Amino acid sequence: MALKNGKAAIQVLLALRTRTLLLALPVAGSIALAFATLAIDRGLSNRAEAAARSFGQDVISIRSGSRIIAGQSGTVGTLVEEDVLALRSQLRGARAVEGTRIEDNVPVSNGSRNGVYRVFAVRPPWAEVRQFGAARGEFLSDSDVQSSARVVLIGQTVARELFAGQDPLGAEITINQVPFRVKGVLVEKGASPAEGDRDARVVVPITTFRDRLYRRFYLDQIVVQAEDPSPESLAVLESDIRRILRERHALAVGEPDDFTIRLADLIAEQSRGISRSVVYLLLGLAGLCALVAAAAIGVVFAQAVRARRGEIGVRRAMGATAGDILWQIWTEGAVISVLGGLSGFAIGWFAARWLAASRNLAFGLDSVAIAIPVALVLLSSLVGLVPARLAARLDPAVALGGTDSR
Amino acid sequence: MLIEAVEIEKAYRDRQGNTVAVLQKLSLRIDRGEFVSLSGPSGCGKSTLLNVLGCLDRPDSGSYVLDGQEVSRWPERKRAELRNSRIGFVFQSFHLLPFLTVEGNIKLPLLYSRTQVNIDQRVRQLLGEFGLQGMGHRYPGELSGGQQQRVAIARALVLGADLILADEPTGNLDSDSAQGVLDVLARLVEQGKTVLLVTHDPNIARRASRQVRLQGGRIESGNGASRGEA
Repeated sequence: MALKNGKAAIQVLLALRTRTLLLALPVAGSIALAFATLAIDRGLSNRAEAAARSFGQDVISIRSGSRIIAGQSGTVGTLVEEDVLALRSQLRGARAVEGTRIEDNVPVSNGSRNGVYRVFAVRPPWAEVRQFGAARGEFLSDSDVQSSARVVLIGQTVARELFAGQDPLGAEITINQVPFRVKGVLVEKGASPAEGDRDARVVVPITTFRDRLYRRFYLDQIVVQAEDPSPESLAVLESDIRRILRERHALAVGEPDDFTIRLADLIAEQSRGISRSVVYLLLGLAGLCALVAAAAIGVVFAQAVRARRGEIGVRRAMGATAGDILWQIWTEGAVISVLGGLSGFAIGWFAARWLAASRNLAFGLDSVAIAIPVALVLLSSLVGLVPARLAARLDPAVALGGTDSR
Repeated sequence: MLIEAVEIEKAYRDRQGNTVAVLQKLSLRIDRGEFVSLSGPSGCGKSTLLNVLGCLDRPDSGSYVLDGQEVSRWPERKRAELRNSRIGFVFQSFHLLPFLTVEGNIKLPLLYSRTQVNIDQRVRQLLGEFGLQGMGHRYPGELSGGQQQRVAIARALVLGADLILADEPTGNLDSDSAQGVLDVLARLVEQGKTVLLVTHDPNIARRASRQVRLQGGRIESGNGASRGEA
């Protein structure tokens, strides 16, 4: 039954190509929108999770704010070494507290090869907190910090660009024209939406940065590693950090923080690039579009049943049962939905790929990204049952106009 | 005896909800190979009777025996099979599907047939028989009215129907085309088919071997057996 009525349905759809196309278009549009939105959302979620993981689920980042000091040009950061010491002594539930200084776009050279990279100024425990140790050579030691040694660890990108296959260990490079000895090569971390290419960085002792590179005393960031990474513990820790730092910075009630605390989930959300609400809005639009498409199929087919009474009557006279008519009309609607759905998947796939590539978004697939568009296709297919039932119930004698002439 | 309809009654409800009797205790017998015309004024029940005899409609009461079997109470699927295999319909407005070619239209009944056979040769034979050679791939809109009606007759015969029910088959044709179609129907009778022809036109009715006239849902005259004669 399905085969013969499917054949009849295809004959009609091919004959009415324009109508088929016009009805399939909104289905394709809604499926494309839903699929692309879900694929981008999944990709962004994957990226956000990766960003959160890479930053460390148990790590709280405190970013320095800036302030203007009377008599000085420019701004200075609000975090200082004393904040680190205060947090270390007062904060309960913290495994480690480390301050860092960060400078972007610093010129680094190895002879004639040079580039600009991000410089991190840290103490040895930073490697464990950020899980960013040495892949080759050694990480910084306490004596390096104490002596403000001109030693450096370079990221994988730096090693590749400045050494081009040569062994960088022990080599001398210059950072902002100050010579440093390469003590090690950092583990490979790859790119992160929150931090960019994390292999395009060099790590020096925090004291060396201050004494030999930039004479900067304030800190750009403090990272706190929690003993317990549960959301509840992190929330308590965040609250304690805020209280301690506000007290130390003598901030009055109602005065805003002069620092920014970021947890892993916030870092994840920021690294998504598109907020959840935009995703829901797009999905809502796709759903609305699917409803309109389904309604269009229902209405157009209901009208078509009236216009095709003669055809239905003839088919019944030629031996079609009411079931045959129901199957045929429903199949016509279902084929339009499936055609639209498949086209929508293809369009959505390419659109999502293109958006991911050109707009710094991400592409990902999971069962939900497939299931929701499939559900929308099923919805528009099922709507076709209504006019199909109308057609099947049509009295063949009436359909052929028999009662009019009697 | 191919058709034996006995005391058939059929009524409809009009838009005001009143019951309108269309066929009243109508009885009709038609032998195999007969060419019977059915005429009468508009609304006398000709098309309703044709629908009942063609198993497109069921009588409210009475019996309808086709080739020895009481078919009016058969389930719909069985009646559909009967229409498909034994009854050929020809309509005034041809009712060809405009999106199918001539061949596609002629083959339409095969779509609903339980026995799937290769009927290409049969289609070629019918095209030749009805003067439609070389038109198999044309669409109905490209044909004249007479040609379209001949396609419709070929469609009615393609699966070997032995009862042809023709409802005003010449109503939309010019006189030459009408004569052509009547010649075709007469030839079918010569081949042993049974033809029941509904027409308003007395001249056309005279082409049949028996003329039955309906009036007010009853058989008024002709060789048919009316209520009293059944």
